[in-house]
Amino acid sequence: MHEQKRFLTAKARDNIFGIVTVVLPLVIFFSLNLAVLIITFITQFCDMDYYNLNSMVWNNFANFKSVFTDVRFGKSILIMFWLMTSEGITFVLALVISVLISQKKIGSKVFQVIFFIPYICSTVAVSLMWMQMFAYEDGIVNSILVSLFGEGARVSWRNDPAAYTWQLYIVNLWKAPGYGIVMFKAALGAVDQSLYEAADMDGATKFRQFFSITLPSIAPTSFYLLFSGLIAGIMSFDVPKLFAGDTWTGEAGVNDMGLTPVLYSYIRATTYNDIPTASVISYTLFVITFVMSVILFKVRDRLTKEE
Amino acid sequence: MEQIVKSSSGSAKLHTRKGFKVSTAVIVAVLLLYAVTVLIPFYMVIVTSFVSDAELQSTIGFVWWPKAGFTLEAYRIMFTEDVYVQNGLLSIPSLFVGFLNTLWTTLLVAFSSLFFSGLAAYSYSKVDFVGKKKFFMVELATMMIPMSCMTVPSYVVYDALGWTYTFLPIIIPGLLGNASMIFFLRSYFDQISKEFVEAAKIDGMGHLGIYVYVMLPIAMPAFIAQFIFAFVSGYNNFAGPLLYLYGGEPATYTLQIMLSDLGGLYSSAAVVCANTVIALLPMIVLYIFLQRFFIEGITVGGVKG
Repeated sequence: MHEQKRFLTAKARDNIFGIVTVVLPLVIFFSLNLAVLIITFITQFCDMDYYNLNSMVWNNFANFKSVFTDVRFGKSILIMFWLMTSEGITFVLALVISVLISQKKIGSKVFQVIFFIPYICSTVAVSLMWMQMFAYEDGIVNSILVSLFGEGARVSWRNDPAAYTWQLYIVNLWKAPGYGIVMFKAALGAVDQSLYEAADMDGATKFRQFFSITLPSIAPTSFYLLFSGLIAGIMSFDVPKLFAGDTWTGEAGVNDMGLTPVLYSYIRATTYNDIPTASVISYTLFVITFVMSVILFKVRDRLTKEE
Repeated sequence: MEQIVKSSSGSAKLHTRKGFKVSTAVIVAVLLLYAVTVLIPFYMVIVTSFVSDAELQSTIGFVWWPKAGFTLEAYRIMFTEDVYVQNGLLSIPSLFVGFLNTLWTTLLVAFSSLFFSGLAAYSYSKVDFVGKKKFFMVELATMMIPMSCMTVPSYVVYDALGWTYTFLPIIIPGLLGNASMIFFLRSYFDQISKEFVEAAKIDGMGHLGIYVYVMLPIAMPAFIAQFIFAFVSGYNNFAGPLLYLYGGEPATYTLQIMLSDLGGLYSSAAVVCANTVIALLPMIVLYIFLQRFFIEGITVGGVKG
């Protein structure tokens, strides 16, 4: 240490330490991640044998034509939007539950601990549990339906195309709200209490207070949750894949009713060994997510500054 | 965070003084109903894991409570008659192989990326160096790139590097830190007075010493929160290991891959449920004990893919 001081001034040492430490985390992005972005970008325009990068040949946008005219890709987008509506319900559910917890009646602490549990569980465990829940013969869901409405109410969740997607929908509704509940609860706790006191004095109803004080105060959190929910919806892969099981037939659930865009790109890349079309699908999602991330990031930046 | 806790407990006093009302009963009833919906799958998985196969097959509908009594048969099969062990592919039960693989890879990545992210955050917050603002802009820009979209086609790059069926694709990308960690730790460091740094400098400490001996202890809550987020994401990671490890040697499978694989290998619902219970247990126990850090870590960690 003392040796060094003779050669380097304090300023020089600051510069070296600073630059080295901030460049290190950037190294992987600018090598590995950039390589992934560039190479997969190029594969979009080429024909390719299996995973052999040397076999790439320019193919005149054929991959784009095949993906954007592909019925299955269209179907996966529709299923994505369908599943995304569950993010809206998740959002409302999280808001309602967090408002109820924030009333601090009985056991609100215990409730909060319970409600967050699904969020920390792995998608694999969650899927295994829910596949069991949806089992035809002895699943809980059918047991309850049958005991309420008789044998005719039994649903073949796995094999009925009209029912299949609802499994994924319900799993998301069960797993996702925990995050929103915790986020909303923190935001609700941070609302300026003097506003409520002033409104009480003016004789405003609780209902009125919720819409003119609470909602505007938690707007940044709401926006953040809505956007991150949408991004999670676009990226939906784990649960649809796990419900579909081995995709060696190339089908994602009965009649492809569990096909999301990411799962379709996975099937293109693995079952069909077709990286170029998988890249086209991935890049399409990449662009959408990127635009949304930029907006989301700006909101998060503002949220952190306010804290 | 401290402020939030204080003000919310303040409002609690305001509301509870009014005493017990009908609205309280309604609120608690709604919350209880929601709690039951959240807990039912756990009840199902735990009960089923203790029911004998004979009873599962002979009963029509879900076995809410085993009439023939609880049995540890499923756990016995899981620990002593593991599929992979019986085929001579593994020497200890497969779920444990998965657990150990997940544990060392996740801990390695979590500790390493925390250390390097913290270093960068320290520099951004407390060291003056040339181009600091520009570097930070670049770091922020990388944070907005949704790399998780490229997980599937990235396979072709890892394949070309010869990394598929090894742990490298799940270890290397996070090893030297990541942008959101840096971003979070920097904003935490910003709240720590620069006087601590100046005082340590006068004592003759270098930057590395100050980071390890001064900043790390003060910012420990921030590090723990970030560690939890990294640990939960790593422990639960499915898509990455599925792409890069599945189909290779079972000895390299991570916990989640093993769990989903076993889910397809056993026909007995009890055994599948027993596997699920064992795989969930460490995370849930950890969560119950460290819930404050879990909630902080995951809420600041942001979007999980």
